[in-house]
Amino acid sequence: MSDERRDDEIIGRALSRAIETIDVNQTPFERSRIATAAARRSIFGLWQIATAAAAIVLALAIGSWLTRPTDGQPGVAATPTTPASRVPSVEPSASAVVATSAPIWVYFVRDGLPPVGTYVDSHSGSAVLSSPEGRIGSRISALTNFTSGSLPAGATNPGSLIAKPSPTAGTGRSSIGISVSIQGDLAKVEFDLSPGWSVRGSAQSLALLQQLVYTITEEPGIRRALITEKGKPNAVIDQLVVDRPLSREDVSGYTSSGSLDPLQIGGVSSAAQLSTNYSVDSVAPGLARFVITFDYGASGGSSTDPQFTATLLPETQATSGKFEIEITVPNGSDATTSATQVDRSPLRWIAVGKSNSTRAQTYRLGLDDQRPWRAIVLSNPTRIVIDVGGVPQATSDSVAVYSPRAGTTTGRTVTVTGAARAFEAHVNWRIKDSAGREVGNGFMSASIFGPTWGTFDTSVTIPANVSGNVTLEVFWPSPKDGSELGLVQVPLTVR
Amino acid sequence: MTDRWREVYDREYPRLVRALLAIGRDPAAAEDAAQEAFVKAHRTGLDNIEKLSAWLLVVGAREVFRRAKRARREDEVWASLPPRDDGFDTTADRIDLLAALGELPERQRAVVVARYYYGLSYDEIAEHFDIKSGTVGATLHQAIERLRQIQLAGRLARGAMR
Repeated sequence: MSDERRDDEIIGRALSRAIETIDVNQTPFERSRIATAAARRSIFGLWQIATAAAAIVLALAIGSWLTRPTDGQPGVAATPTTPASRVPSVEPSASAVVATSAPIWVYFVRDGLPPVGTYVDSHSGSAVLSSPEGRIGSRISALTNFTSGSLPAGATNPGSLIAKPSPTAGTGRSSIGISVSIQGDLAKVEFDLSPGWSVRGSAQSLALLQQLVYTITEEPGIRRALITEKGKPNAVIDQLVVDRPLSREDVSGYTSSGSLDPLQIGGVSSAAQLSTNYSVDSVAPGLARFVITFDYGASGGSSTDPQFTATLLPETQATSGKFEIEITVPNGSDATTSATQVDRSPLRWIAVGKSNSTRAQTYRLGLDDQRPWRAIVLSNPTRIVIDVGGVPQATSDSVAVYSPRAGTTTGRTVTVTGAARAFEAHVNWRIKDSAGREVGNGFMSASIFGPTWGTFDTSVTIPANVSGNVTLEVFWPSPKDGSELGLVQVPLTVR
Repeated sequence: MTDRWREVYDREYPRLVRALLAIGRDPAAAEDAAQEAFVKAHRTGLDNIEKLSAWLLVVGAREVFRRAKRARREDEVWASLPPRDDGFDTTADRIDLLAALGELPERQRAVVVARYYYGLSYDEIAEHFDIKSGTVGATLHQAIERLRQIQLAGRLARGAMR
């Protein structure tokens, strides 16, 4: 071997060792896609495969628009319903018999936020609802036909516009056909639309696409939706060309996906009584917060580093939700052992249980999608906070700004709160005016640095000569080259 | 059937994810690509694949490249990898090497990982990665030379900071 070859070999081996030391997420076989694909086949059996092969065609008369009041508010409810009274049991099995006009879960859209789901009437018989294709078709038709029931706060229903005839067309009667077929985790939905999509502009087109992708992929086992138009190579919604299968992550609006790396915090594991609570949309819009509070009892004290693990996993059961976060607290004990169907996007359900093998308490959170999430540890009392999502624009893989909210009007003094995982907990902020000029900057410390995130809460003053539209930017400098990492931008209007 | 797959999976999966992470530098994409490679292998059938580990690497690498096209900023992902605390210099060296690997063109990255981490022969690399067998050696040498330069630059920079 020449010297040159030997030198190459040395570097090569060093590289090999370096690769070997990379920490990787070792998805166990049981959770691998090959194992779950096999399981899914065995659950559904031959009958399901046969129906999957033959696409079910649903033709829907959209005559109901004739009778709809012309108040220019399509889809807004006259009589609010109470979704809570129709909540099905936790983790409904795929074979559950569904009654006629059963409520089904669909999504509506909110400006600048990921879609939000709710139950609406399906208007479909149990025969249709007994197959995945039928359920997908029914969910879409529930959107296009949505006339009664209340929309979630701040949400709109672009689906109600599909194939709505233009006011000049005259008859006011048209129909759309929806044909659904399933291949593995992909649902192909072909629309047969005589008057076209009837949505205008990129914002509305994207909103409709987002709504359809979320609604179609609600079906257990389906992760991607391919939307096509009969007689065309691709679906074209106004000017938006849909030419590939889309997952919820493709349309959620977040620039990064929630990390699948298991989070392992090796801290103190004194015996503790645990209790939990959760909130949705209260810390920030689009954000679900789950809090585990530690009570160390007579042993006293408060730990700033409780031992726990938290892992985001693709959801593989036939259940609501596409992902779940599993949190395990060794030596913890929660008096509750129930499951709660939350059904407030993005939090679908909470399951509380004891781990079989170890003396540990586990919590599982069923989630709509793989939006970014973070774990925060707070003290006095000791709490583990799991935050999922937030405003997409204000959420990156390492910074999440909770307030001020994007688009709000503020005074000169703005309280900036949020969380970050930054090198040495050093987080920068700056204000840019409407011309993009930097008019103020500073830095703040996120409380704790480590695999968990730290919180920040600081007061930012906007200079007196700046008013109107400004942008608050928050990021952290790379220790390697000073580049700005995790940058988020929050547009504000200064009074 | 499942038991055989479980065995293959347990043996090949961690190595494959590491290799794909080294090639693509995105942990989530590496995981996805590794899962995708297994799904494709599962569909193809164990008996139809001659050298499984190389097959998985090639299919996984292709998947990583496909995803990289719509990937987010690589630096951000890289910076988010947790540091390992087993001594500054060795860790720094490792991180430098891995970071340097990331500076190479995609194809060179894959070839280097195939050769040194998977131990594939020049002929195997030529066959699987669709390269002329005569140029594998030159490609590798070129890539390693570049790694050496980048790593050296990293060391010098660290020395200067102290």
